[in-house]
Amino acid sequence: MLRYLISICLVTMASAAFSQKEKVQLDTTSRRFIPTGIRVGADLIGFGKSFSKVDYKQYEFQADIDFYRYFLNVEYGQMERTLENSNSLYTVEGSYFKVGPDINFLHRDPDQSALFFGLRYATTTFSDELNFSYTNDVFGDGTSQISNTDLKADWFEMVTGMKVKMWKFIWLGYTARFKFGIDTFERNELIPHEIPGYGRADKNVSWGFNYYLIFRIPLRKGPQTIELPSTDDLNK
Amino acid sequence: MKIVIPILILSAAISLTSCLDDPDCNSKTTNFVNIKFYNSDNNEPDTLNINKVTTQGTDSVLFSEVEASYIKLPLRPDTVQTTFVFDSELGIDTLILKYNTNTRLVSEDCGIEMVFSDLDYVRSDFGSIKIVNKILVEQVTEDVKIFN
Repeated sequence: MLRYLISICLVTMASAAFSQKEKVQLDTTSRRFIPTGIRVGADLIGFGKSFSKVDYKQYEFQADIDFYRYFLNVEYGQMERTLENSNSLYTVEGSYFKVGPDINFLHRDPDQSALFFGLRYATTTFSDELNFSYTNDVFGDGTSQISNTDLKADWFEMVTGMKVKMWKFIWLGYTARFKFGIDTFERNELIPHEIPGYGRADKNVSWGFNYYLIFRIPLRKGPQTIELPSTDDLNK
Repeated sequence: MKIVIPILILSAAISLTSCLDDPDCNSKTTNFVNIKFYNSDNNEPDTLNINKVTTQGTDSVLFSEVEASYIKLPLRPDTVQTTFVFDSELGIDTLILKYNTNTRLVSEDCGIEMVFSDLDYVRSDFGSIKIVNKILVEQVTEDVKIFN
């Protein structure tokens, strides 16, 4: 439900921007596959959670470059988390990398806003550790420490979202993710609780959501546009 | 005004993603292995007169003076092998079971869960033995068949 709300909000914002000026893109077939700019973004949800929660750190960045109506995306993130209760302490830390293409359904937009659908291949290297105590009526109580070092996991994601120009070079965007195809490490002595970049390790599929603050670095002028006179102007 | 909406969306998203994450706490795993006795001649359920069952690692006697068609034995959580000594009508028999332990943190609220998996035997002095379930969970009532 939230995703629909956000879509509606962003679409409204985007269309509000369109309606101010009637712009028409000129044909630029010859150079259309030459990138027009690089967008670099930081995930505000990760930063927000790192700021608001103790024992949680997650920093995630994304960059994309456009080739006509396609984007090539790379994403990099780091996370560190501690979970604790009265008889166990679990820590996980690791970094993850995602790469994949998007297709943009708004490629004719003069502001170069994007409504995209894409795929990602994601990989992570992480380590985790569990210290716990247990009770056993027959053999007595005990404590144990088990860990995984430099585990590697990979999975795939189907993503969709929007990127909208807010002001000059500042953009906002969101990405919703459906993650699948992971190994859940059920046979390890320590079964991971969380996989950085993926989420809860006991789930075969997982959902994710990012909200990005994006800066766009232009590489060349985008497709030329002309402004059409509005009906008010014509009636004058 | 333009900036208010993104901030609202962001705070809603942060709060929502953090509470979607909680699993439920009903762990179904156990460290008890269910052993049932069978007659090797006709493969029918059978009973065994047990004087006592002991295990290495503790002085306590697990069972004594019972005539049982099935018994429930605990596995040690700190090793991957547990030795049981049966003193019964058949004499003294040793049964060594091996297994893996897989431990996970379910959540901060639920704590840890230990899974006993890959159950197998290293030594059995009984007539014959068959492992019928390799991962120990509470719902399963038979993990090992012993034929005499």
